[in-house]
Amino acid sequence: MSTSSKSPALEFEIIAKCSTTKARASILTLPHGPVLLPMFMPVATQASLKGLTPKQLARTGCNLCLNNTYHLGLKPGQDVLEKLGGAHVLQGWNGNILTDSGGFQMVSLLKLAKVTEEGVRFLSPHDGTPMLLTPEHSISLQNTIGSDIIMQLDDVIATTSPDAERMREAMERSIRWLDRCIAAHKKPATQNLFCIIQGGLDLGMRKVCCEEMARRDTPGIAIGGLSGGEDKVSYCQVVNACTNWLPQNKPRYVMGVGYPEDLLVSVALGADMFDCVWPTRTARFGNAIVPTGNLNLRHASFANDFATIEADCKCPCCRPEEDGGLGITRAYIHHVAAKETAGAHLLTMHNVHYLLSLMGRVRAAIVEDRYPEFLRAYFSKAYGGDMTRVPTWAVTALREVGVDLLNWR
Amino acid sequence: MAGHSSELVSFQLSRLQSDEDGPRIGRLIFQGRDPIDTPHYVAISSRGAVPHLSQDMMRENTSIRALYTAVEDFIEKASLHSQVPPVFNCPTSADESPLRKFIALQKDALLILGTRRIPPLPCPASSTASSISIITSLGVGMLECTDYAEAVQKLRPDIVLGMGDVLFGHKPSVKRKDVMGDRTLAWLKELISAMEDEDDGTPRTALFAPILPIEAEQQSYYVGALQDELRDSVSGLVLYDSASVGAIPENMRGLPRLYLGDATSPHRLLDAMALDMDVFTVSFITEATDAGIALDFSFPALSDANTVGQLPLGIDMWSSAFAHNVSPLLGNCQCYTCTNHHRAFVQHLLNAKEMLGWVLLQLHNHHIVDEFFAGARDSIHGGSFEGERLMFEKTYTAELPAKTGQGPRLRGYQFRSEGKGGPRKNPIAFRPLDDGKEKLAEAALPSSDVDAENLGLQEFAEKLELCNTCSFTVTTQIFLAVCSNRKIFQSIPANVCIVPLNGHLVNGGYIFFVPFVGSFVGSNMTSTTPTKWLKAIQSLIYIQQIFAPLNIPSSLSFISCSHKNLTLKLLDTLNMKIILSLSVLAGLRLASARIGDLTYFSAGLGSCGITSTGNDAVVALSLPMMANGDNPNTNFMCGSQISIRNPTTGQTAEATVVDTCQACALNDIDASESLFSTLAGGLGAGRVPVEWGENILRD
Repeated sequence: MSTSSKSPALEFEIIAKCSTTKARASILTLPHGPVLLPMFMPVATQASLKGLTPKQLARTGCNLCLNNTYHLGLKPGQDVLEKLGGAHVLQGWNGNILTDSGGFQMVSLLKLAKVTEEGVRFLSPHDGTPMLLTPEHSISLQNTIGSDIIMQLDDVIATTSPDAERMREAMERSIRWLDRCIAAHKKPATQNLFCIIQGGLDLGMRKVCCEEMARRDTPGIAIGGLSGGEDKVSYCQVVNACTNWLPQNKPRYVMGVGYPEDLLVSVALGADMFDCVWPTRTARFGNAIVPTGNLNLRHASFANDFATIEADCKCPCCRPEEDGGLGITRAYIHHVAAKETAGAHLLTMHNVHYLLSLMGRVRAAIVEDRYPEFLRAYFSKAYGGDMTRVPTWAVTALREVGVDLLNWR
Repeated sequence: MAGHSSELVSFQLSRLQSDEDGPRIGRLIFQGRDPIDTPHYVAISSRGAVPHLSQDMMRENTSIRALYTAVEDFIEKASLHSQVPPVFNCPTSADESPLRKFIALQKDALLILGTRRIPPLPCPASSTASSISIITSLGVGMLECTDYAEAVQKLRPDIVLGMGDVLFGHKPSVKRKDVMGDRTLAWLKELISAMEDEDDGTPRTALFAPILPIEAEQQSYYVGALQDELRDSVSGLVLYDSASVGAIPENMRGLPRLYLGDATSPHRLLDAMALDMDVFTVSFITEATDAGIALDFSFPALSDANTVGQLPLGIDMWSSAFAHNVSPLLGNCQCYTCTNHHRAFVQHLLNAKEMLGWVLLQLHNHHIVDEFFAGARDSIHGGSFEGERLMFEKTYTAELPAKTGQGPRLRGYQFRSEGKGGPRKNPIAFRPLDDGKEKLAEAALPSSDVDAENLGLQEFAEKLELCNTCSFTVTTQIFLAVCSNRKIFQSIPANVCIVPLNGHLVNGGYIFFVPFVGSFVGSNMTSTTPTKWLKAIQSLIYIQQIFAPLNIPSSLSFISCSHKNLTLKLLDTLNMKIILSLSVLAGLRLASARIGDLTYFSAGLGSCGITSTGNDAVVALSLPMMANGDNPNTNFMCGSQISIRNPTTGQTAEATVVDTCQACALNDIDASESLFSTLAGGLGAGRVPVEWGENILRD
């Protein structure tokens, strides 16, 4: 089977595969440079990664971030984006950008959004007038934004919805909307349209959707509709099943995933790209991501903790001064958390760096074909050496792909 | 013998100081730090960071060479819980400053430590013979001179500013002026002796002594002591008012002068430069940034014959006119922002309330001020300063442009609105959804005979946990509810006490109290007499203050107290009815009309920390009515509304409580002149009997 693919604006090449799990290491070459997969993509919702400059973001190791179409459509608006020449120009970012379709925000942020065959009806948050987001409109907006990867408009409903009929309708409609998106896409030579697999937790529906969408041969494929409150076991089943059905030679993006454990398991199940607002959001609440979990640095116990946020971390905050870093201590973050925005900026840098470097180490482990060992070491550290504390869903999912955390070799 | 701290610093003036005043240029050299050419500015930090700028941004994208830090930003934990401030414990190598390490200030920048933030938040309490009043994130406290000396020993800043007995915000009285010099001198001596006691005798910190903002003759004794006794221990001077430059003794004129005075515009900076100030703190930089203004001035002013009228000192970046504008903030500006981004992006970021907008403005604004000082130095060097100063004055408007957009999201105690009842700095970001209002309107209130236990069983409200070991006096059995919906109050039975609180504490809501049989762990109170009530309420306010930085957007919150820590639980608006019912059960009557005498006073800065004028409808209530605690500013009565009626004429008025009346009997009110005139038909009567009450919401 082919391990590479080429589209006018994208090249994808798998350079290593884990011999045990389904994990892959690959290079995704986009109009604004190559991206090493697997990768976590931080979310710069409104063309800014929460207080960080594009240079600071690049320094965390990031060269592919998200913007939200819905937010950019509201501010600064399509007209401004058109005149400026897109989101790269707007934010002074020379890396790659991925935009979502805007459909998810319509449903998650807006009350009274209603989905019809035409598109998503919603009330304008500005003045309450009824508006309609169609696949054509979404693609037109994303064409204006000029993002390197654009997403189709899909019909998103919660995976936990018990209404199988509605779920099927959403899945089938997403396929019809994909066709409309492909037809409306004006810049296939510079922007890559990814389809989004729907079908809830019903593997039968997911299979139909995978087959139908794979036939459309988009440059990349997203698995959507997850991270909406479903249990982790179902989540893993869906990802595991979809990666079996999807073509090997296309990048696979699981939307809305960002917890370290979820990332590691999803990579083992064959996914390549992820995004989530959690690392940046939790930073603003004073939480630092570290190998042993989360540290809520606002807690009084950190007032006198003069260790760096994470020992051996290479981010600008944690690196010691001798090493060109700042040597920021937990005590200092405690001192500024929720009192000065600089504290939020520092933690945002650390958290984004943490996830990107985690994925870098994941990639190195895949390339060296020691990903199972990597998984074991990570979970062991996270749970203080006691593998029985590792969540059952993770143990089960990893067992499916040949890694048994509890009975090692 | 220890070396003198003054050896750490040298200040080279480029020309010898002559008798005539005039701008001067110099070079401030501190061992191991980058030299600073003066006149120059010192960046102001908040909790160790220049607002909006993470330390890496400051290092890489500004030319900041000196940073001012305030002790009050670092010692809150100690002042409230009698512990050691965490920063004291920051581990360092022998010759490192724990403060520098803690805030990650780069090694080549000069670290300056003073007592209070710049600009200081107004403090209600006055200083004592051994301490000054400060505001930390946990509230008002006193900074003892000995504690300050200890902080200096422990933190080892490069330069420490002597603790001055200086009032902020208003003029000292004649009596007060007499003690200012004595206190400042005593404190300075204390500080010097502490600094000389350092173990190894190697001085690490240089001392800048205050010159007080009072007339020269009133501080002549203090200044005399400075020049005779303390000259060798002092490396520089701090001035709060450029007018006091005349008080500087002859043998200290060559010392560097740090100017902490009013520098609200570049014009004022130039004025102070003309009076030989060397180093400045420039608070308008961050103020402009927060207002969304990109500073736009240069010195000397670029002459442009075509300009009609004066030029603004900055550009309001909120303006939608910039939405498509891809030019830098300023054409030739070399700052990070102008070389990497454009106006459209900054405008978008402000508009979208993205934090990066303020980061970029802060970088730009510091750069502009950097260039401004460089221009001033060149101008002084070239001998053209005075002419160019006049030209600058003519070219630019006197004040920064007005703020049109919103500031950044306000985090932290340093952004309290000015007094309770003061305008919000930002409008409320979140409101209940409309359907919630409808539901609320439809919901029937429980009848008054429903008991609390049943309501609890229906899971309307979580039961409160009892508190046994709280460190401050917290009631076990008082409910506190906060509600921002006026309508609800119209249906509250008349026997519930309602106190509107318009301040920052509860987001413009109202607070009302439902006592059960009172029992206060901390103070052994067992009854519910009104005065003890007030104490209880103050405790609750105190709790609420702790939670205030969370900016709770909800329309209702419960406060409960559990074994070790306090928890705040947000409940749905609908739960308001439980409170109503409970309050009925409680059967308390506090809000009945009071009868007392109305007099008038000339309004000014009151005990609430709010400054008002004779034209404001404000009142002072009696001492027992106010029952001020340690910090009268946080008195829950402050900012509350009362309604007053003159029974003789039928005239009514509403007023805000802002002050405490020392001479009033329990139910008397002291009113502002305009309010008194309204109620009494002129000032002539002097004293009239009135009825009044706090429950104006149910009229």
